[in-house]
Amino acid sequence: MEVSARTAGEAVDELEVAYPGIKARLVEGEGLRPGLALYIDGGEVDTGLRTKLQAQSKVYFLAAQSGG
Amino acid sequence: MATTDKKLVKSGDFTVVGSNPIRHDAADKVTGRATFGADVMVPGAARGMVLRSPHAHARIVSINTSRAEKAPGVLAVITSDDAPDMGPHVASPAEGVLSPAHYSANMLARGKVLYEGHPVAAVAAVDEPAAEAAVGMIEVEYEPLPAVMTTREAMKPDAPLLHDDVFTNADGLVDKEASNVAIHRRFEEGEVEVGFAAADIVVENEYETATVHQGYIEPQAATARWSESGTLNIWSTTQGAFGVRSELAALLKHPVSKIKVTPLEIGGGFGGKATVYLEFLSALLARKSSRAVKMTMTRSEVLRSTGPSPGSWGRAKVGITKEGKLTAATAWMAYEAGGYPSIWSSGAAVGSLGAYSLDNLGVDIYEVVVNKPHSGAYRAPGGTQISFAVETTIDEALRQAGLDPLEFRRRNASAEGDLRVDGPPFTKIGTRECIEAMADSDHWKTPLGEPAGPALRRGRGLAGGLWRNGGGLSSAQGRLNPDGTVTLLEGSVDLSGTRMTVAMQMAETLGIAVSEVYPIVPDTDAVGLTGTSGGSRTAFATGWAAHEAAVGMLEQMREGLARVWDVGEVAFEDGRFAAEGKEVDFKEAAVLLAGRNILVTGRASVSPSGIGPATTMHLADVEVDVETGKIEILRYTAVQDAGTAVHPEIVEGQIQGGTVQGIGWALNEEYWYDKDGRMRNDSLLDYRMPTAVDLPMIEAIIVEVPNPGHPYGVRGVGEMPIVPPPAAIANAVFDATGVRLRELPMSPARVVAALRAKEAV
Repeated sequence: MEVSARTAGEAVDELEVAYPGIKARLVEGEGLRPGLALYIDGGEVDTGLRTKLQAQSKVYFLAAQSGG
Repeated sequence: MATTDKKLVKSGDFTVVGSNPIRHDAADKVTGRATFGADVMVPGAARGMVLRSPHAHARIVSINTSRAEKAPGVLAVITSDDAPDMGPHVASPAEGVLSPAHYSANMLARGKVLYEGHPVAAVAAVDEPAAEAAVGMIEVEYEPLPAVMTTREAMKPDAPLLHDDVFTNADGLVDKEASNVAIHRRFEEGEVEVGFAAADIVVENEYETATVHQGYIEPQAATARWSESGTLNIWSTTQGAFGVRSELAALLKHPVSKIKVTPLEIGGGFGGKATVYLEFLSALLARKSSRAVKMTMTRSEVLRSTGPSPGSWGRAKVGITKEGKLTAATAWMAYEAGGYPSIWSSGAAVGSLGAYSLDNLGVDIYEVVVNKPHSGAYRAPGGTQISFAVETTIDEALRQAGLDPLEFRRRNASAEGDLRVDGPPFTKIGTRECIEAMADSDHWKTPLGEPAGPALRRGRGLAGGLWRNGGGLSSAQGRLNPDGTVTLLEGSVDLSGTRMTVAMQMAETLGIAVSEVYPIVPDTDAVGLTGTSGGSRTAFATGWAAHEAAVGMLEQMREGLARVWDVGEVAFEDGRFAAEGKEVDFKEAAVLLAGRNILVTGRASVSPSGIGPATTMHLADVEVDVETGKIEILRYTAVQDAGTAVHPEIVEGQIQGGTVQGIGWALNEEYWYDKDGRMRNDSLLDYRMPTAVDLPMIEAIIVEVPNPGHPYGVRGVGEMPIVPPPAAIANAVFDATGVRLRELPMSPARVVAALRAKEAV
């Protein structure tokens, strides 16, 4: 889905308008839900929902992977 | 935060990285001097023992500990009444993480027992015989309930419910009716129906795998002692000292700053020691008895009551064109969560089809509660099971098309820029390089040979794979000693030789020999926060932390020498510091700085993002005795991309060890349960793992496609090797006999039954 957001948080807000209920699956309080990681343009970011987006940024919300 | 100061040079330009120095811990370990969990001797420590449920599923009607409390030598008896109330279960979205309520109940049953071996009570006494006698005096009244032992049974609409507070969580949407299906995750790309419609050949099959154990030789052990000031000291055989600390803080409702965990040397973990078991019980007993309490597990307890790898039930479907293009693939897998739910899905999903460039795919992962111990991680959690389904289905399809298995993988190999199953594009990966290394291998080029007898059949099978690997937080500190050596404090428990591989990366950055670096894995008060050793993360992330710490040390040394020499800027190159005609090597610099009381301590905490996936290709030659069903491995080759092999012999050992575990999973290992849900093969005599006499040498071929996201190009290596063996062997068995085995283990009885069924057709 294409959005016109300037930050990852604004992208989530736009997703919520199109798919009501999705924000609760991605966000807890002011940040990402525990167990989720934010990937922007192929790399993991640790600045959370404040992360600024570029015009062609691709944003992924990934489940953190565990290991053994 | 990792810096962008990446010193990535071509492989071969390193001095230390890529060599095979003797491990710092080797001599102590092979001579019995190393201290493991059960070796810990705290003065005055009592011994703790556990009463475990004989039932797979039962309500606890009552527990009477009064006789036990009065028994000679008994210092304390605990039940769940002694554990802090964690409140109601609230599902955790984090992978592999139990909710606090379930975590606590898993270690000390509350209201219900959910697997045979589930702890119900524990005793601390002056010695083991007294503790054992007291355990026998605890009276528990149970109301047995129907046991649900497989995902198939648990997913039926009329299956007995294990929990009335577990609801199916489907990618965040929570159902309103209680269910044994705790989690459903779905991953998809493209349009699978369009992809299947474009295929000339579509194959779909169903698979089952049994519960297996990590098989670490050293059982769990823990000692707890409370200080007068309320600090809890824990000595533990664990993969993650900081994990133990944070989990105990939550479960005991005790400040994390007042818990100190000392990890000991560990005799194998493979994921199974990333969870707290005895630490919690010994802490409760120690608090109640006001004594240190030491606890160890027997082998039977390890098998029945820790966290085995889940059994599974699944389906895989692939579509290919007759020219060998993979057009679509789906995988549906239901994993046993054990008595309590948690999720291991995303790694398995990424790994399931990660070796292929594929536009149309769908992966559904379910976690289902059953009356078995709560499932633990076992090297690439979930990966072996799903790979068995996917790689054998692919093999079936390509053989129907008459295609060469290596050429097929060449045509469909994933590469940089292809999308992962969970969405983002791959960075540089070595899928193609592993394929070519297999094509160039002596094994691939050597004909199979004729079987030795009339009842024997020979076959060859190939399977590949990809594992995403992990990152996470790691800390390291390097202290320059006055004699030019460096003490390295690193937060990662050494599961596999990582104290060496981390030290090597520090040594490389400093330009010194690794024998001049003394790595120590200290307690949680002495080093920065570091994630659990596992997920193939340690050489990658903690190595990075050591590199960053070394960069910091060099900066401090340059600044210090500038003051000593009274110069502007000091350069460091090729292991030497120089400025304005003055020059010293590392050792000389250390002496100079020590002489002026200039201390040098580099420290770093990193959570690097440049994780590099591992890729692999495995080839198995088997000989099947069609009369007995026995499968013998004649030859086995494992090719794997390590990025940069910091210590090639250690990497080789990881490849060989993981492969052997995968072979055991394929041929021998399974939990046998009777009709009442009790494990009947709870010893290593009957839970049969392969030994050195069962298998040929595993030929490990290391490929190096440096990971661009790491200063030394490192990729994690520990998990990948366990993934392909069952599929490679099943494909080889088909090549030998024409029979497809779709259940693990491929025991002789199953092989014979499959052969007879084929003959009857």
